[in-house]
Amino acid sequence: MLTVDRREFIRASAMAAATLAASRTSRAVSLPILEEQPEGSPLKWQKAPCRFCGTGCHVMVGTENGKVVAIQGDQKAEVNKGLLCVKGYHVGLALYGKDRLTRPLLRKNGVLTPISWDEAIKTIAARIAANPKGFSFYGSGQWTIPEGYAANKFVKAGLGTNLVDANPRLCMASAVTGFLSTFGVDEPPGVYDDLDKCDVAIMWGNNMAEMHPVLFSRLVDRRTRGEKITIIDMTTRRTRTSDLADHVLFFKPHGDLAIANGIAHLLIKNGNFDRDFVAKHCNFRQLGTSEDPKAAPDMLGVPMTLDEFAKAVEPYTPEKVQELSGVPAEKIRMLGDLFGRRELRVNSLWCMGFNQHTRGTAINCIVHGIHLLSGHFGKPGDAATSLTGQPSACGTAREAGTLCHMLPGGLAIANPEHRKHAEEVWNLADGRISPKIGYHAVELFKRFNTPTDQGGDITTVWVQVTNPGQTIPNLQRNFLKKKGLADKFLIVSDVYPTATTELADLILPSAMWVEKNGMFGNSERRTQQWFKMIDPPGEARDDAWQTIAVSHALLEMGEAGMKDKSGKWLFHTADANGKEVPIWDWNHYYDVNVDERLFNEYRAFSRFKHKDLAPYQEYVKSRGLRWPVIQQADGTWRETRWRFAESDDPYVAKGAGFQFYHSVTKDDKALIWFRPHEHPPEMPDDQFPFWLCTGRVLEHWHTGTMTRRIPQLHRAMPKAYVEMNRADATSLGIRNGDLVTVKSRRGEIDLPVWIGGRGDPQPGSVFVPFFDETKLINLVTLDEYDPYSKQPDYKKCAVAIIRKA
Amino acid sequence: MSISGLVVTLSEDPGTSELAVTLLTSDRRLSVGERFGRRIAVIAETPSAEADRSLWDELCAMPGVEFIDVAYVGLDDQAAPHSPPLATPKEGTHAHS
Repeated sequence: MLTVDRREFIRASAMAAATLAASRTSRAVSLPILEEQPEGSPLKWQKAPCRFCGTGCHVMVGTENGKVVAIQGDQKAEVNKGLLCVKGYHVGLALYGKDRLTRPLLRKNGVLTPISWDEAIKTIAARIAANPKGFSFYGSGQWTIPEGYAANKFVKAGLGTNLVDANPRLCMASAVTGFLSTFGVDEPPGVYDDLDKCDVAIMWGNNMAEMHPVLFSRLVDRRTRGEKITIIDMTTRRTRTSDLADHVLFFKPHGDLAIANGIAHLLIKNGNFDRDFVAKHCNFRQLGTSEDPKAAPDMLGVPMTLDEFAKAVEPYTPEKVQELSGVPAEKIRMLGDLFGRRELRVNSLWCMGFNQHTRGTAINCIVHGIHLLSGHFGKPGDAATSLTGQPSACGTAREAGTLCHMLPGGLAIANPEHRKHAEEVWNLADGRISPKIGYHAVELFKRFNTPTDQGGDITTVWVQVTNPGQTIPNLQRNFLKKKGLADKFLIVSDVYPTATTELADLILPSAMWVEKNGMFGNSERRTQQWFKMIDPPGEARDDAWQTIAVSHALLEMGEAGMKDKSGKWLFHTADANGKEVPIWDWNHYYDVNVDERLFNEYRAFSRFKHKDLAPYQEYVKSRGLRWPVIQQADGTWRETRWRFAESDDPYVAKGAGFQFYHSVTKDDKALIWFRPHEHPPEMPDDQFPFWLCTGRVLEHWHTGTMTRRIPQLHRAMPKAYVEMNRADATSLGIRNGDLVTVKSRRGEIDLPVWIGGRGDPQPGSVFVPFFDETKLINLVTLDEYDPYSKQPDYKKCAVAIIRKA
Repeated sequence: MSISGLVVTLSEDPGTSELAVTLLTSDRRLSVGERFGRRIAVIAETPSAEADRSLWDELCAMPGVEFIDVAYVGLDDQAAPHSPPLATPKEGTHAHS
């Protein structure tokens, strides 16, 4: 029973939160700020980044008697300044679903049977030892940085393969190739501060009001304070972002390519591009040709002059762009004028609309290009910013390098100098790191779902912290075929049963969020840290421990790869006296801070590409720091907000103004690419006349495995649906709530129709969210991907809508 | 005890929205706060998770209520989490066929 005081406190907090939310048009709310803990309060408050999205809001977590009992926004955090969205306020409840996994389970004769951790670890080690080249890790942008780093080292140093990939392949890979193609190094040059300074914010296929509500509220709040800020929503369907935008521009799938080229055309034609900036700091590039007609040209491209670039974009007149994109010509001119005005600060923002795109690298490059061409770069408010959906897609997959073609610190497997550097840091023999790139996510699961005697060379997959059974495109081909392949072995480390554990042979219960130490890296290069606050339930254990324990088991079996060239175990850890701590034994795992040990080793990689990280203890003291973080003369550590700009980036030479020090062309210049408009690989036709777009909803985070177990969020959005345009529905005799079949060439599912709801697709399009594991929309989606990033396109395929009788 | 802070979005129609306000105000489980146009702050207090769910269903079905947002939830031991019906493996079950 609640005490009167506590009940009144909670009631007051609830009313304050609801009142603030009701009084504002954004979706973020703030709680009454508590400067001091009430005297005698039994709650212990500690900081942590939120478990959910890539915004990286900080929360204060209140624990009592070994349980999370309260959450509030962290007022000291620069990212969110005490605000949280509706998911953030409920993040504590994500730990307490009734069906948490608590014991290792091995499928014996088809039955999931509890086993000991010892048996589980030995089972995995034996499986890997029998065929190390047939083993792949599949991890996640929800891996903490130490977890991902450990898995990466296990595979690339320990097994000598590059068979590790992660789910940012499905969400951010095209952003990576876009940054690399333009700047020679990954991740946004700008930061969230740009939202506070811009005059124009352009959402490029990005429903920011629902997907990054705390960031969107920074834009909306500026308006309530009387600031003039223009929000432009470029979208394929009306959403809550549209409701708050000054201009809503509906475009056809792949129309974004044409629109961006149209802006470049107008900048050249009107002569109001930043000629001086371009001359000093940019080169132009276009794709070359490939000897193999089936292969994509390489990412380096071939040089072009400004005149050649002008000629290339000449066809993209406003009228032509209208034809290709559906956006009226006068709106294209409006965009061209905006970009041409040097006195405005323009912030472009995108997320999955650009990245889950078979020309994702191209559209990323073109939008970077129009910012460079127009000089809207590198000043507060002038930025081209990709946002991430996962809490550590940047910090783990992209920075710690848990992708099949990467090494930590943004280094590349394909580069011999980078492999040598990794061998030095890891004290490995020359040539230990394989030059052969591993399999990207779709290819990995395709091979895992192919009979071994038909080229399916991946026979064991270990999935940690992600749910490919719900997220891999074309599930029937790329995931469900595993059912009939008896020699394939799927290991899943997770916190709840999921669509993936349905087919698992071995299920391992994992610790979650504040049940373990952790570090994340958010969308603005901010590395954040937290300490373990409570114990995980049952026998659940940290994912990093699981990896380390298997590594040690392999060492004991005589696998030489698990030692460095000095004979020391790859994860050897000593205490302050130099004595080895047996961290492979769970009873001793927290005798030392393994996170700190792994992170400080990983730090050594970060300087190579000027992504400098501070020592672990600096992150303990702060609400995150944005790299590169450089130590000052007085011993303090200074973060960097605007990269490549002399005004803020310590690596830029004095007097340079801007310096792209990882320039592809090795002349400190960035690249402005010409990439043409191209149609999607699958388009509606008579048989499948609708475009299908998939995506997310405010209440649920990704596949819903956490948020669907939070009663309030589940109630607010209990099940998936298909949004239809009213005119389309009427023409098919479909009414709101009717059950229909959404069918593609690959599969079909039945869904209730929602007309006139939160989102409203354009005629000829439908939208289905992917959070509902009872409605697997990825049975229907297409597994075509960008030729450079290998990222699949979840936003466009052709479907039929059939009303069920 | 379950305490939630909600934002209720009322219908555009003045008649049904006023009806909704009357119904909300007269419900002992609810405390109605300030109104901002079509949005009104409400706190809901129920003795159990089951009662909370029942109230939720009633609010969603209430004439004049267009949408409900959740702004706050008090995490209390007695508000037992509810797991949605998921097709997931349990110990002792066979592989999904």
